[in-house]
Amino acid sequence: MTQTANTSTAADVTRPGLTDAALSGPFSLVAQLRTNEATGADRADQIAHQLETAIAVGLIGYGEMLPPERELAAQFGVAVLTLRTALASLRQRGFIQTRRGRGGGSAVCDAGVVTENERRRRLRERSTEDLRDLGDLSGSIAAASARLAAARSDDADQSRLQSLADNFRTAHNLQERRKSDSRFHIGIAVAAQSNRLTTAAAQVQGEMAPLLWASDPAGQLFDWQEAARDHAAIVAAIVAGDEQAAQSAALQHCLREAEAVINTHLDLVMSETDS
Amino acid sequence: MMGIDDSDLPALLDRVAEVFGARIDELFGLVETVHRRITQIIDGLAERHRMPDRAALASVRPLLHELLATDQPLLEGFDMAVSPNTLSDANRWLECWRRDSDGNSYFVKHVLNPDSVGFYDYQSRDWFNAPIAAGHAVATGPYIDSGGIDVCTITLGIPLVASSGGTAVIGADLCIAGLEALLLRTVQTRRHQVVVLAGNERVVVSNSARHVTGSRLRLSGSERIEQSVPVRSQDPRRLPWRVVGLSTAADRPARSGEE
Repeated sequence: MTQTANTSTAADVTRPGLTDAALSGPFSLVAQLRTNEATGADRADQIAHQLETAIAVGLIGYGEMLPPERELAAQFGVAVLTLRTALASLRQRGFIQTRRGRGGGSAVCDAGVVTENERRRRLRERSTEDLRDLGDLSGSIAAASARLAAARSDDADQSRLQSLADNFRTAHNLQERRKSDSRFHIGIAVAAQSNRLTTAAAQVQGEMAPLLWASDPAGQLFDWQEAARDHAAIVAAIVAGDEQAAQSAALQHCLREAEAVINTHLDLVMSETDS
Repeated sequence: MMGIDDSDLPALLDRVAEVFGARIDELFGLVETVHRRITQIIDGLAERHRMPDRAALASVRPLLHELLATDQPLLEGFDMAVSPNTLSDANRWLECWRRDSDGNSYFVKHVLNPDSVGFYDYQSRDWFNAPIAAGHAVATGPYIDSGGIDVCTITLGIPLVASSGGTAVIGADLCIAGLEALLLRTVQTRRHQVVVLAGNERVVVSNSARHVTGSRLRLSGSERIEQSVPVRSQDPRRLPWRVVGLSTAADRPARSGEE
């Protein structure tokens, strides 16, 4: 099994404007995006789900090309045939488009409304305690990451985190905002200089982000400014080296997000007309 | 269902109290049906000076399957559990049947060997002990049945004193998601925070993300209980639940001198 030579550290995912060579960076995270969903599904289904999640979270952007099939299969540690099955599933559901031949490949496209409805359905069917449980985990990871980031981060970590927060605040469109939100959350763990927390953060974001955005396909209801303020508070505490404040700010923020997700779930159940 | 003006909190709470009471009474009724059948079987054996065994309990399975196949979205499963010295061939036995999304029943195997790592000691669990201690039907939970069915549930349990000696508990496990949907469709609003509280002061379900199933009712600085109404069961002893309406500072009219 060949791997492309790259120093794909988690830090790569936080730098905007990735070059082609660094594109394999995010894919080391994508390969780790195994979640509790899609249990019992076969390997191809799992990979399709992971890629779908990566797209949802913004680790792979719309319009971006996926790496060549052989390389992608290597990242996931599966046979090329298994990967092709996964890609076929994604193609069929409109997540990617493939151009064959020289210079061809698979590019991520916007699956649009169909995905949003699917996400709303999933959110409606998850139980409140399950969502609360996910929120608890998200908060725990964020709190620990923020505390450690306050204790350990250097100037480079901090300015990277600040620019991630800025990207969120100044995002031009919905896609950009969602992507930058996930990157910020993962970025806190990166600033904590913990590989395991970064992996855990990516996994939880993978589950959480689609639910958060299922609530608000048009991006109207979510209070961007409040989220931006939350992010700013977290960054400020980290820069100040205040561990308690950073932990507390991260926890508060995740609590708000978890509440937003649960409230949307409740709205969806309430408006369901069939019994 | 008649529409209720969603600004009329007392009427909302009243409606929830009535609906929940009626639906859970219905479910207790199903448990009573199973209870009667088991009692008959045990009494029949006792007349012939015999104790029931696991096969005798198992003979009730067709009835369980039938009940689990009915249109009861709040019902997730049935349990029949025994205390020591009740069955002739086992000191511990648990018949636990649940239904899947297609309406088919399946048996949930529990580890009943005390020496095993995954030992599920139902005889130490509240859902088993509370009805026996009370001597009458009780609803226990919400609780997470760790090591058993591993989900959050509420168990309607009725104790059975076997004429041949020993005790058993016949129970029904409820679907929390179903209770949540029932609440949401009954109140049809999230303007007022409505919380159903169990006898253990834990949240059963609510229409608010701040009060999630299983948590204690914790009021934030600005929240207050506006009104509390008992859930109306035919037998309040077995269902000491109440429906609570909360208000936040935003809902309450500002008084002069208040910030």
